[in-house]
Amino acid sequence: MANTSKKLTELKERFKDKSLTRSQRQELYKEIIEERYRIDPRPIMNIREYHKRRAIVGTIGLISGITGIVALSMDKEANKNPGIIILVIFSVIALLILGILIWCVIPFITHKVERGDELYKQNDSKANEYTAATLAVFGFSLAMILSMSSWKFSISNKNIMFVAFAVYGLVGALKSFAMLKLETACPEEGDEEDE
Amino acid sequence: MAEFTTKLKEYRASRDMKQGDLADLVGVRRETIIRLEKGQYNPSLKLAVDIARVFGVKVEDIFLFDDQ
Repeated sequence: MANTSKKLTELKERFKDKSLTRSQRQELYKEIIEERYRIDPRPIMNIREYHKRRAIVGTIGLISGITGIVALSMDKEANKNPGIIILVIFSVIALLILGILIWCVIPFITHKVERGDELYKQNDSKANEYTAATLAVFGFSLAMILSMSSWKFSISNKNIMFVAFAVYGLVGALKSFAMLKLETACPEEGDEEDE
Repeated sequence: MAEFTTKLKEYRASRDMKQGDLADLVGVRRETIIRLEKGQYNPSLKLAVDIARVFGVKVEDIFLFDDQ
């Protein structure tokens, strides 16, 4: 691996040579791409694409968690009302529809995610701040709604996994939505001069 | 923070270089180069120096601040 990285570094150094003609530069660029592919042959997934899929997977996790929590809370007599039963049915239907989107999950295994740079790190920390702020507002609103409703809910060893799953899905989805907002879509290489 | 303009696009065009080529050389994504060219992103000192080295010029030849 050390040798292959060294070769890649050498190729990149040669690329900086100002005396290279355009065709020589293109040939060298092809060599760099081939070398990178030889080191890790998995195709690269764009960061924006990654977050698009992660947001959908997070939403599936959130709905699954909420469905589980609500369904388990129906063992209490006070919670057996038509509104909650309808909510559970709709959640299950939504999950079935979202579950078909299996293509969201497969590329997480078969692709490697594009390497983040300094702009990505900046966007990532901004996304963390947005997520924390949204979670605070969301948590406060949820607490207000629950305190006003007749729904009886307590965290126990029965539903703790669903609560954790829902929170994990919510945080993941919120962060990915924030990243999608911050990371603008890249135009195609040929269109770059028209920007 | 002072506003800045950049001549990055001109330098890149003069070397027949695509945004992706330059991004690869300095180890960032193409999106970062696009934002830099539009003046929407303030690069780190390291990135500014790396870009200047690619073109063999000084940092201030590529990145210009309002007060210059």
